[in-house]
Amino acid sequence: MTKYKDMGKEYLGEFEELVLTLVAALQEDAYGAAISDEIEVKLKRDVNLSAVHVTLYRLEDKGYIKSSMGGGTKERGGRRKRIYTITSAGMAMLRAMKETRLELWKMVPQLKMSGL
Amino acid sequence: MNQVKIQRWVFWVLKLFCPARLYEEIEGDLLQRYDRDTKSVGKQKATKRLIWNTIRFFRPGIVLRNTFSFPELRLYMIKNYIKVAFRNFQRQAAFTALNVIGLTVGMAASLLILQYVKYEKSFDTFHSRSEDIYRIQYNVWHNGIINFESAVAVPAVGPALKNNFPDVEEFTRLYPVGGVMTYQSNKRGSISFHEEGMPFADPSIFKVFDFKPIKGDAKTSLKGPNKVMLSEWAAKKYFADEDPMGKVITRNGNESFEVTGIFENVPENSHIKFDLLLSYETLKNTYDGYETSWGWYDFYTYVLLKPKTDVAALQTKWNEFLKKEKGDKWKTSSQEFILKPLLGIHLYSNLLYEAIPDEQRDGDSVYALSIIAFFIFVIAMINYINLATARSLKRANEVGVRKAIGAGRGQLISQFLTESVILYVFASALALFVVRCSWTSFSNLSGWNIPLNFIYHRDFWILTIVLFGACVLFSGVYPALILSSFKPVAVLKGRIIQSGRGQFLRKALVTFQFAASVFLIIGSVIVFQQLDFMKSGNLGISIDKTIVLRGPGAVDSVYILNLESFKNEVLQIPGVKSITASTNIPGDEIYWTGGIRRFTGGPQDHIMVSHVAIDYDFVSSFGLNLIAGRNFAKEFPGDVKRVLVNERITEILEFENPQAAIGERLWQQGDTIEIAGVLQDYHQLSFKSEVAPMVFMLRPSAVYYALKVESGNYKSILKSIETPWKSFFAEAPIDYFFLDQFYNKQYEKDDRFGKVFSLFTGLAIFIALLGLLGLASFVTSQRTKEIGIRKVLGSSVSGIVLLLSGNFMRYVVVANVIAWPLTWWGMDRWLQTFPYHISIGVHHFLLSGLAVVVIAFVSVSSQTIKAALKQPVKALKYE
Repeated sequence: MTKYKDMGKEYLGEFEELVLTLVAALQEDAYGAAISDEIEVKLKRDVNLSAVHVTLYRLEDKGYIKSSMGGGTKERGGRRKRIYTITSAGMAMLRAMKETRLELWKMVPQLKMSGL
Repeated sequence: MNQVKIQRWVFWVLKLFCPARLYEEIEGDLLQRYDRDTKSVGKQKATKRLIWNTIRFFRPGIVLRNTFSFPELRLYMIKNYIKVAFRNFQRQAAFTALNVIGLTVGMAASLLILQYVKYEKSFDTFHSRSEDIYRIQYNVWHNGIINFESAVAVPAVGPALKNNFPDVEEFTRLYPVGGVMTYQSNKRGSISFHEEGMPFADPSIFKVFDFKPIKGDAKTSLKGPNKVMLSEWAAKKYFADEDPMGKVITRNGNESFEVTGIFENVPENSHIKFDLLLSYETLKNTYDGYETSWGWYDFYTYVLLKPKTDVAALQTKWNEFLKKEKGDKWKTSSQEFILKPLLGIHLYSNLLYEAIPDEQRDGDSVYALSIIAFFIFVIAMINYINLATARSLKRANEVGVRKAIGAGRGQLISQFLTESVILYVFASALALFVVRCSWTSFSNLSGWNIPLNFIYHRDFWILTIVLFGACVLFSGVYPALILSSFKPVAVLKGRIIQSGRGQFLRKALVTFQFAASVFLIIGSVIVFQQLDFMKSGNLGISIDKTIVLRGPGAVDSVYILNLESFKNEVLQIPGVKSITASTNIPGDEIYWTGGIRRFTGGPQDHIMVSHVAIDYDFVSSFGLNLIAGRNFAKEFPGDVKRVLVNERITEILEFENPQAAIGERLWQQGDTIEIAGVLQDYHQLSFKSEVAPMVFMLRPSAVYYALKVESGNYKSILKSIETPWKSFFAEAPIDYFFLDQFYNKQYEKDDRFGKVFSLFTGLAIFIALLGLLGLASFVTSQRTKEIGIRKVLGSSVSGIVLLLSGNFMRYVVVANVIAWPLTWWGMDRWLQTFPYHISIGVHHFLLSGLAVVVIAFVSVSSQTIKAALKQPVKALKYE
């Protein structure tokens, strides 16, 4: 029986969940523009850069990710990036969300996954 | 490079709303995006997207992340600023003191003057309909030349205007008279006082003006004859605790008035003041034409017009009306009745017979004063700026360090502004204190009797606060800007660049201050010399050692009989050399005027002259010179139809010489008179007026008795007069004064002007000195190294002092050059207002120029000597 954190009031919006996941996925490349690019490419979804940024800030406020300044590149006119990394709290949140989702999806006969 | 420009602009906008710590990454991301887009859709579109993306960042999630912690930071830092400010004040105590004194003086002077200006402009504004009230000016012309312009008009004007012009709502007349007013009290005996300026007034006075009756009724208290209303003050004076209502007061022993009301004391800022109002209808007892006369002019006439009446149009219609009605009667001497606004009287009216001539002010001078106040204030502020920036060197290190550890320009500006604010608060408080303390002495000095409660008006505080705010803003900001602009590296290395423009401003200011000082010094000297000249000039009549008694005023047959006995009794008193009765004495304006004309020869028209009734003793008593003919003498009973004239009359009447006038006959208002003698001119009024043509008639009068006495025992003489006085003029109080003091009262206004003028001269010089001192100390400290080197090379102390001071003397010389022509022009104009005046000489300019040079030199050298005496070693180590 997996223990999960009492999520209570703390649940993430769909977009926040998305961004959080990508932060964990992209690791050293987790910064605003890159995440935004991934969403556009992987999910074929038009998303505005500012929306991503704001979500990142919110997630940081909530403590699920933390940030530090990274290197600058020519394309960025030398401006540095703010690289985000997921915190343990954030990771715990991701796990919890994954568990919940799976539980729910199991209940849907058409979504029965094999090998889970 | 269109795109680049757009980019810059876009990011400039971004910077406005984006929080500082997030800015870099957002900008970077935007650029990255732009770069990617350029590769995929081309520059144009990429730019468009860039703009759009940037705009999208303007959202609560971003904008609200800005830290508005500024105020918090500021608040915290202010504690530090205050601490540092006080430390600085202590370290540079002399400089701070100089600054504060300069500011205080400037502010106090401005406040005083501005209060005065406000007060003068407030005259008569307490009437709620003051803007609709007009006074009738009475002008009389003679063959195309104006004869006189008078503030008093004729009784018929008021009714004529009201009855024929619907725009005229109301009219009211005031005819001021004097007299001895007596109240017989059961408990306290006879209470009488000599009163002047009691108007016979129409009941409509309360409709036109806002004088407030406290007891009695505005509509009826002055209706009907023989009624009187008293001011609160007069009521106390005559009745003490008794109820005045219904009691009887007599005038000159024969006219009775019933007290029907009391009114509030007339405020100080009214052009006409009175303590008793007599009802107008009383005049019907004594004079016939009191409602209908067109020739008897003694009546202040005021009209109340409907709001927003076109006065010019009304005047035109009125003039036409007069032409129709009176045109044929007034052929050769045409008369005008002009409507003049009430609010312009105090400052701009200068007619004959103004209500209180001594209080009339010159509107232009009042405005000139406000300009002076402004100047003094500006000079004080600029002084502050100069001193502050000049001393900025010493603060440079501090600024450098602060900048090095991260202070922003704005913070430094706040710091120095705080210092300015503290200084100004202190100076303001001091200034207010000074104003309050010096109010009474200043009032006395200047004669500008402004009541103390006037300063406590709400306006005064608003004025002070506005002044304060303006100060801080203008004069605090500039030094703050300069001080905060020092580059840390340069400063810490010891190199500071001073702006050339700042230097020039300072030099210009010092020069200006000294030019002003020169002007004021010369002005003061000339003013005093002129006053002295006027006072000590030969009047042509002897006014010293003369006691004047005010007579009972009324002349009747009994009086004439008694007069001689009275005079004889007074002559018995030891010390009394002579006594003469007349209707005027020197120094008193003559209101008794009339027209005369020669029988044969001379000018065609009547000439306006002044009349004085005298007795046989007048000429000898006053030591007047007969230059032709003879004095009145008892041997010639026909003398009652003869007159004496002064030399001026013989000139105006175009006689070849005074001799030729003797025996000549004149028309005088229907009578024939003959000239018996010609007196040498004397100055009836001060040297400020031309000698007027005067005609002296032999008539008994009861207005003034002039006693020539031997010096010394005035008190005993006055005591001895009481007995004959009481027996002849039982009820009248003895009202006396010394003629020379009375005469010199005419110079009072000028005396005061002189005093105020020199006061401001002192102030201006003082402030100029402060400025010079500051400038000198600054420049000297700038050149400390140079001085050290010169000393090492062998220069003497005096040599250095001369070198440094010489630079400053340049400004002083320039100041003189600028000031001299302006001074000459200004003082000449002032002197021209006096018919008899001194002339401006070269010595005036040279002496004051020298004085200024000496003053400047002393103050500058105080600084340069200090610097020159310093040891070269210390100077060379100076960073």
